[in-house]
Parts: sequence; structure tokens; C-alpha cells
Amino acid sequence: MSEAARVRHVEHAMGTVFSFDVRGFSDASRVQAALEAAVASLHHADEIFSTYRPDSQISRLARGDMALQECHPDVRDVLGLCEDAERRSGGWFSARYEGGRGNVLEPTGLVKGWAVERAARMLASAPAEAVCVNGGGDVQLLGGPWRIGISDPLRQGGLAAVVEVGAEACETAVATSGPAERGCHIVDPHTGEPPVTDVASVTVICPTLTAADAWATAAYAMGDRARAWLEETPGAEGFAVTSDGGTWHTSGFGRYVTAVRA
Amino acid sequence: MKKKHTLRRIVLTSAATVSGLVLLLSLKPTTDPSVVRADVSITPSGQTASASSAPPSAPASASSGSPSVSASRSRTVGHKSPSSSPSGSASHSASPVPRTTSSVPSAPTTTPAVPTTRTVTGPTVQTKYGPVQVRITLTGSKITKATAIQSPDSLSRSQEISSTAVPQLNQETLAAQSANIDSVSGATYTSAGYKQSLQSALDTAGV
Repeated sequence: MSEAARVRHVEHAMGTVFSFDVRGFSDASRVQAALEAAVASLHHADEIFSTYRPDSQISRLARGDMALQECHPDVRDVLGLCEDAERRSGGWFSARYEGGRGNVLEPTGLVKGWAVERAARMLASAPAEAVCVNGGGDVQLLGGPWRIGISDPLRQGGLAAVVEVGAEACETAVATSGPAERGCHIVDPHTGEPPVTDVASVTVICPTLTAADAWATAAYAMGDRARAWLEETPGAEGFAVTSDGGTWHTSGFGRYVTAVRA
Repeated sequence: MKKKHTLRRIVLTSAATVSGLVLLLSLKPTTDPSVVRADVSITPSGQTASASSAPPSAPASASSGSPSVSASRSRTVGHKSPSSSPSGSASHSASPVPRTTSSVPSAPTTTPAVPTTRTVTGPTVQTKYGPVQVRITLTGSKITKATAIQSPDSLSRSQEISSTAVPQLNQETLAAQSANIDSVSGATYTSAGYKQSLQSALDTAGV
């Protein structure tokens, strides 16, 4: 096995960009085939779940033009995961909220993480020892070693912290939520309004990106309550940058971090 | 008052950083002959003290078979349309599927080579504050120096930007490199935002 074997790929999908980085494999053709399948799975998820496409299954389901039983099994899986996340976050993560257009079905807060995690697993089973898939700023790592910078929401191009996992690492996901690059797209599910918070961005680390993405969204919506909630969420660690440039993190976050901004 | 100032600083810093990253993107090695002009000068290797008289084409050290190990090339990357928008040039390098897929077989780990030092000058990019052009020095694949060789200075507002934002750009480019990261987690970016992101610079550099 060539230690230096590496495949990288960049794919535009779901209105954002997915970056793949695969290391530690002996059969490059199998990795290439897995990459093609992983990329296809992202576009498939986009077709089904895009709330921007009126003809997507999720849009038709929301309008009542399509029954859940008629939808692709992925739709049921994802909506099930959304319900689970809603329950475990005490309602702070929700795929449904009262929006201007009535009851909006919006599983987007979970779909991207779920799709990235699935793509990463496809690559790992190629097989490959170390996989990093970054979907628009949310990262699923399988194996290692990897060093992941956490973007500083107050200085574009700067880093607030660096998360490090070793070669012995199994599953690590890093998801960050905040209004920084896309305008505020997160709303308090109770009000339908952007959250009132002094948190500029919040990062969650846990084994799977499906959970990390949902927890980061919920934590950002919670605002100041996020720290205590993440502290007591099993298997999750959190880190936040506040609008005045300060930071906080949960008690177990330190084991991942090699550098935090002053 | 204080808040307002901070906000403005963020805006200005962002503008410069964006330009910098756009430049980094457009520095991607390319095989398109119309984009790469002939070498304008051959400069001595940063690793060799004697240097300026050394014939760059000759492998200076006997143990190394590769001329690129001992000689450093200074290359100017030309730009077909200097007035094109930053996003235009960025999309050129961040093009879709096949071009960005790269399979890197083993890096030359067998030769414990002295890292090549090269200087690359980016195209002039027109920003709303004026033209910006950056030169970076790479030792191996690591950026060791970033200099703004052209920055806005005509208007007083532009001067303010130059004095604060350009040094910031240098620091941030270096900080990201020295952190030696594989990927970046941050609030979700759009396809357009990606082009100006650190992740995009990492993907393009392929290091």
C-alpha cells in the first residue's frame, strides 16, 4: 500500500461545494469508483431534498402533491432522523417551523450532514483508511490523521481553532453553524425569526455528521443556552466564538484542540 | 462608535482577503499555454547562498537528479483580461468535475529533496477599491512570503485600506499555511462564497 496515495475532488452540489480528500488505499480504481458513486449520491440527495426545486420530492410532499409512502426511502429515513433530532434537542432543531408561507418543511439542517456522512462511508468502504469529506463547511472524518481549521467568523480567511484527530481516530464530525457566510438562514423554530444571540458561530464535534450538523444548528438557534445544552449532550463537544471575539467551549473539547485564538 | 469601526474593519479586511484568495486561486499551475507566459527571469534558489551566478539549468548538486531541486524559477502568470472580475478568474480555476479530480500517486518521498523556492506573481485584479496584485514565495508547497506589489493608493479611502488590510492579508495567508490544515469547518458557504474561501485555496493548492 502506498502511504502517499491520495485522491482529491471538488464537487458543486446543493448550492454549495463538497471537497473530498481520501488517503491510505492500495486500489486507486476502487477509490475512483467509490468517489463517482459518492458524488452521484450527493446529486441524488439534492434532487430529492431541494426545497428550491418545486418538483423535488420534498417540495411535492410539503404541498401535499405526493404521499410519504410514494417518496424515495431516503425521504422517510431523513424525516425520521429529523424527528429524532427534534426530540433530542428539546425542539430546538426542527424540520418544520411556522414560516411566512405557513408550515414549512425544511429538513435542510440535517440533509447536508447526512449526505456527507453517507458519501464518506462509501469512500471508506472502497476501502480507504482516511477519508475527509467537507460539505460547505461541515466535515465528516473517517480514520485519520487530520487537522481541521475552524473558521474565525470575525476574520474572513482566519482560523479560530484547529481540531486534530490522530491516525487511531475512527469517526469524527465537525459542523459549524452561524450567519457568517450566507446571511442568517437559521431561525428559532419557536418564532420563525433569526435567534437573538451574541454567538457568532458554534461548532459541534461528535462521531457522525448527521448528528453534528443538527446539533450545531440547534445550538446556534439556542443562543446562550447552547453551552449548557452541549455540555450535557452525550458524545458531543462544542466550541463557540462570540460576537465580541471571545470564545467558549465544553469541558471535553480540549482533547481535540491544538490551537485556539487568543 | 467602537462597533461601527470594527464592522468597517471587517469589511475592509474581507475585501483584501477575498482578493488575495482569488489571486491564490488563479495561481494554480495550468497547462494552458496562453495563460502561462514564458519565464521572465531566473532567480537563484533561496536555499543557495552563492546563487546569482549559478547556471539554473545545470543540476547544481550532484546527488540530485532534478534541476528543480536546486534552481528556483520565477514565473509570471499572465492574465488574458486584467480587467475581468475576481469571480470570473476564480471560476476559471474552480471549474467542475474532471479538472478538479486529481489522483496524486506517491509524492517524491524517495528523494529527500531540498524544497524548491519559487516566486509566483498573480494577475492584477480590479477591485472596487482599485487594482490589487500579489506576489507569493513558495518553498516547496508552503507559502513563505506574500507581498502586495500593487495595492490601491489613489484615494484617501484606498490608502486606509492598503495600510490595514494588505498586511492582514499577508498574515492570514501565512497563518493558514502554518496551521497546516487539511480542511476548514465554518458556517455554510454558497458556491460563490466557496471561491473566496480558505477551503477553496486548500483544494486548489492540493497540499
